[in-house]
Amino acid sequence: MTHGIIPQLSDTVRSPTRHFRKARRMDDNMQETVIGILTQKAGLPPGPVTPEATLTEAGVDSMAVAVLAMVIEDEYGLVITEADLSANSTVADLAALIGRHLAAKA
Amino acid sequence: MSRPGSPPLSARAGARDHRVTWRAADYPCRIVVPHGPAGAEPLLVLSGGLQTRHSWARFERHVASRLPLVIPDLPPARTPGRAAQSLSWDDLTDAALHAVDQLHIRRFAVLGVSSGYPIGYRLAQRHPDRVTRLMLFGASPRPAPRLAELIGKGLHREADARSPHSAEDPSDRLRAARELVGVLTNTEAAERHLLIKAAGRVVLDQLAASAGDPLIRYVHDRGFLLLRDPLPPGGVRGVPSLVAVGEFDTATTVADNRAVAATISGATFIVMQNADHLLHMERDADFATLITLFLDGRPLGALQHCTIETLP
Repeated sequence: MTHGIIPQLSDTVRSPTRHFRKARRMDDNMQETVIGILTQKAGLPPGPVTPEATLTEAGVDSMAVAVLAMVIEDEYGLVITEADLSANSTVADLAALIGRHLAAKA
Repeated sequence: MSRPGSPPLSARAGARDHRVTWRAADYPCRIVVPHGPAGAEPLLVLSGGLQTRHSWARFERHVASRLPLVIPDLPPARTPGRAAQSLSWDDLTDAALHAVDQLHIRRFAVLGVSSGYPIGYRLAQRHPDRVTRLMLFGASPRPAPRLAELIGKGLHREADARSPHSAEDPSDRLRAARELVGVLTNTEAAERHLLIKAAGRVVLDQLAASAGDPLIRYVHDRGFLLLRDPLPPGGVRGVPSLVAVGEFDTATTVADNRAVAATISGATFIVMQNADHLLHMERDADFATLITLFLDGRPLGALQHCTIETLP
C-alpha cells in the first residue's frame, strides 16, 4: 500500500526538498503498483508496460482498465471511472491520476 | 490456402477493413495479415451476439503474428420494423461463406463463439472440403431457460417498442444491459474471479453506452434465432473439431457444450477452469494457446487448468 508515503502539507512547509523526494517516491511507487496490476492481474504482457509507454503501446484495453478500476476500488476504496482512467496518455499519467485521487482521499 | 495473388490476403501485412458485398447489401470484414511468408491457413472468426470485428484485440495480439484472421461483422438477422424479412441461420452461413469467397480463400479454419457457433457448425457440416478445423466455444443445442425467457421478453419489447418497458433513456438502457449481462454471465463466479467480473463489466459498459435498448439489439442481432434450431441435424464428419466451455458458464453449460460436441465425429471436448461464457476475454492467453495448438495439430495435454477428453 502507498498510503504511508503520501506527502502531507506539513512536509512541504517543513522541507520542500524532502517533500518533492517524497512525492517522487510516491509516483514511483504508484507506477510500480499500476504496472503490477496491469501485468499480473489484467494479463498484459509485461514488456511493453513501462511508465513512458502510451496506453495503446502498453496494450491497455477495456479489459485492463476494468481490472484496474476494480482493484483500486477494492484495495484503496477509490472510485475512478473507466473513462477517466482511459483518458490518460501514458502509464505514468495513469499512475499519477490514481496517486492524486489517493492523496485527495488521505 | 488462399489462392496465390488473391488481393486482400496477399497484400501488405497489418489490419484493415474490407467491404463484403452480399445480396443487396454489404458488411465490413476485418482482415489481419501477419508479417512474413504466408504459412497457416486463414482463420474465420465468427463472433457472438453484439460482438464486433473489433472485439478481438487481445486475441489478435496473441495470434496475429502467425495467423491470418478474417473477422466479419455479419449483418444482424433482423432489421427493426421488418421482422418478416428476418435472416435464417442458413442465410448467415451463406453470408459468412461469401466473405471467404470474396477474399479468394479456398480453405480456412473456423472459430465460432457463442451465437457464432451455429454458423461455424453449418460451414463445417456443409463444406468439410473447405473447413480445415472447427473450434466452437460456448455452444448449446438450445438456449438455457433463463436466456430463452429473456429473448422472449426482448421479442415482446420489439413488438411494442413504445411500451413503457422499453429502454429509452440511459438508466433504462443500463437496467436492460444489466439484465442481459446477468443472464449471459455467471454473477456468482464473477464475485470470486476478478477476470470474470471484469469481462462482464466491459460488456455491460459497452451495452449501456450504445444507442437503443440492448436487449432488443441482442434479439435483432441473432438472439431470436437461438430459439430456432441453432444445432442442425446431421452432425459434422471429416473435420477435426474442438468444443470448449468455461466451467462456470451458465448461458451455455458444460452439459450443453458436451451435447454439441457429441454430434461431431471425434471431437475434442475441453472444459476450461476459472472461466465463464466470455472466456476469450477472461482467459485470453490460454484461449489463444488452445487455438494455436489445435490449429497446429499439436497435443493439448500441456494446457493448464483444463480438462480434455476425446469423444467418439
